[in-house]
Amino acid sequence: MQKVLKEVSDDRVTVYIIWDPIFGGKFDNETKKLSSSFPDKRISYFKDPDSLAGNLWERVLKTEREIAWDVYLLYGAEAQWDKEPPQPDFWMHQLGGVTIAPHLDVEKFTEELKGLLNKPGSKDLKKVKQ
Amino acid sequence: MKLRWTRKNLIPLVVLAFLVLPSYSVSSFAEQKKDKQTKPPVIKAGQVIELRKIDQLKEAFQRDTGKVRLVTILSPT
Repeated sequence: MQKVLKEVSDDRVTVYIIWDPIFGGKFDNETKKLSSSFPDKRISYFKDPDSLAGNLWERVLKTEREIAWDVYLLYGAEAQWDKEPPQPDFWMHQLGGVTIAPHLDVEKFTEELKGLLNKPGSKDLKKVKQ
Repeated sequence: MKLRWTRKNLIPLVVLAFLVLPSYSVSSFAEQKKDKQTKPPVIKAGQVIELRKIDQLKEAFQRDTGKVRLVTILSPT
């Protein structure tokens, strides 16, 4: 994601990076280390030891796993979270066997992000800084 | 003449104090107090928030309506 955020410096993007303990190990230490390695005022880092977010988004994305992870989701300016998170406007993943969304391609993902920032419906949004 | 601190003497002093004190200082104090109560805590870059309830994420998501939101769930190990 660092590459995407370096490419799109627009501060109308906000990012939630959620750490779920998929493989165990030194979860707390690694979470802290990785979060401090890329400080960006647009990013909020969340540590999710009980995989609340992973479980919740699995119901939305249906990756056919217990927990959705290694997923990259984009929501446009008008997306609203009512009872559950909405379907993303666009998403990619790095999971084997998942065909309902494309495998992560950083260039494509960056283009989609720019596209959402330039969406005509987003009337309150300014033009993208590039 | 010795001043005696009776209720009768204090009332004009309190009234005088309110007249002398600039009104903005009272209102700005009230605004500062309100700001402290309503503004979310400032999150420093790189700070990690422990997710205890999914509502923490929901609140952030809803608060950021109007922005494009990128959500990713990753394993740190």
